[in-house]
Amino acid sequence: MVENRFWLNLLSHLVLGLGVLLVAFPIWIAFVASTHSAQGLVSGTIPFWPGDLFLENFSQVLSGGNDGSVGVSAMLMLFNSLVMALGISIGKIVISLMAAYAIVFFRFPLRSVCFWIIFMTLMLPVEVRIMPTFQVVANLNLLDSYTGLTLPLIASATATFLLRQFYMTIPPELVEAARVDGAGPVKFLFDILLPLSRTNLAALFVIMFIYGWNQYLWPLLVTTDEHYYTIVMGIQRMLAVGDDEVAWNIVMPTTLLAMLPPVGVVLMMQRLFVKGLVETEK
Amino acid sequence: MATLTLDAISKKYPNGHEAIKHLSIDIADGEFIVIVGPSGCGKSSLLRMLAGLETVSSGELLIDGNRVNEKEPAQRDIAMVFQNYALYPHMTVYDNMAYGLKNRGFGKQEIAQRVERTASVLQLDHLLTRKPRQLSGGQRQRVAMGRAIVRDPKVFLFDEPLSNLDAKLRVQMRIEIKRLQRELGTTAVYVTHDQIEAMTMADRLIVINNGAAEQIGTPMDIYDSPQTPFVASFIGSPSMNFLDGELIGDQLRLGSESITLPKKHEFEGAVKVGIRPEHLHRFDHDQERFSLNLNVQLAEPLGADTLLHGVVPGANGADVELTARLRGEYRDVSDEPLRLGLDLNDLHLFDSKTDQRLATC
Repeated sequence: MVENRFWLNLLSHLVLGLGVLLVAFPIWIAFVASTHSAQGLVSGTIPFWPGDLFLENFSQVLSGGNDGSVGVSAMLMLFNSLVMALGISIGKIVISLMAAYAIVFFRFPLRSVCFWIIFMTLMLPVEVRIMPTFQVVANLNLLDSYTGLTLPLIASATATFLLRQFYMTIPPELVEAARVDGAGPVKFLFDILLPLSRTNLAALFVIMFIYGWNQYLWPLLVTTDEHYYTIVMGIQRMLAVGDDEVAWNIVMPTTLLAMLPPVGVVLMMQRLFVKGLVETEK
Repeated sequence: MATLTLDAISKKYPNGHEAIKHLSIDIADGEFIVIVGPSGCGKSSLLRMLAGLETVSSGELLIDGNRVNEKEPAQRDIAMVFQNYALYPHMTVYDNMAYGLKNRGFGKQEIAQRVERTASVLQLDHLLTRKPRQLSGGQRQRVAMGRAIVRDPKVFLFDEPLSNLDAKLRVQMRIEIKRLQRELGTTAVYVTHDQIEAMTMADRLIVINNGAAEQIGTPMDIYDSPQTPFVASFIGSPSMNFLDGELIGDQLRLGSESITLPKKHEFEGAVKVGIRPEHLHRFDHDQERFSLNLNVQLAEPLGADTLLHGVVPGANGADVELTARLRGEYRDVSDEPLRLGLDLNDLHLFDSKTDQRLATC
């Protein structure tokens, strides 16, 4: 908009401000709630301004083992979530990188069949195949283990598909030039393909990390030992207290803690992430 | 430096398309060979076969007398310059040039020496730390050249390396490539569809049509005595004019006229008569007996020359299109046809049925 019209400006700022408010308000409430006592929160009115119990609540959450917690500290749950999210995102990237590399750059029988089979699994999210997957994991004695948490979620059609699309934009001459320069398949992958797909990989990593971090149903099914609880399902456990009072002063700090790592990853990878999504640098 | 021998090379794709048909040539050490032809004639396939990027269906390919049919591109000791340069976008100019050496296990010192020497030859010294996207088209082209030269290969392969440059730069690079190749004395095979590049750069030309070599020879050989109408029309600009005629003894019947040819042919029957536009000139009453009446439709002044496009009456009263290249300016605005003469030794005669040049005796 080149013209500078006062009312239009005002309107757009109002709309933007409203959007910010809608997004930020729940977070503010979560923060406020994490600074009051349990009694103060269930009294009927939710306070609007922070109380004075910030440090107490947080130290209680981080050490764990108090009223309202699930028996393990938030630190352990954060660690479990981190293992799961990193395992899923790194595993997904490595596997789909290799799958896409094979599909795009090698000629082998049933190549397109392989691709379409992978592509079809796009239509089958975890929730759809959750019973058979659970059965397999249970039979392999992987319940209550990090492997059980990550492995079934690693195979990814989405990442394979995205990387395939990117690889297909690489000019064939570049592959040929590398061949003339004496680079075999492995050298080509590491010296040329990986550096070129750096931004795409960063974008994928961010998406997959958040996907892994936010997994809820799967950890809920495969973990019964609280030492393998992830933070997202830990919160759910904290809420499932039956007739007891929910310890909101514990739940809310945990929620805030659960939000931090994804935010950190996005902030760290932001530059590469945005580049990877918008740029097609050849 | 090496010789290159192609012995009945053929390429047949799985779908049955025959891209190259039994092509044979011996390329001497240090020779500059240009493969020229219209797009889709198989010239790029041929070059890619030499590079090892495409398999050879039948025939033998020898570099320095050693069969290389089954060898990987990297093992053939060839270097290739691609049409779009194919520089590695994430590497600096230095790394682009050094990559092939690194893969061949050269030491760091040796690599640095070679890259710097090559860079100074190509005037890339000040660009070594840049990335390809920070370079202009001409500079990228030179880096692509540098990547080939730095390896000191047995054979250079060029795949239309100048077609992405603007006209002025193309002329400049054309000269530079030729000069470099002379200096280095490396055997080179160069693919182009540009007949000016072909004529100016080649020691010998291979004119390819539909996968077969129509003629192999020096540029002037091919210009002076093209073996087929295709070669005749492809080499030379503007391309050769063709008229239908009939040869009876030493008499050439052209439309309603009959001309006595200075040279005898062993052939009688229908012929295609080829006349190069530049061999036509304004009719001179004193010296010539044969003339063509050109109804000029369009004049294109080129400065030194003028191109005239028009029609001449052909056999059976049908008009035949003809182009002439006259010296200087053309100012005639009259409706009268322009009388054009030519030296009868400059006529090219081809058998209408076999499309082969007629031998004189």
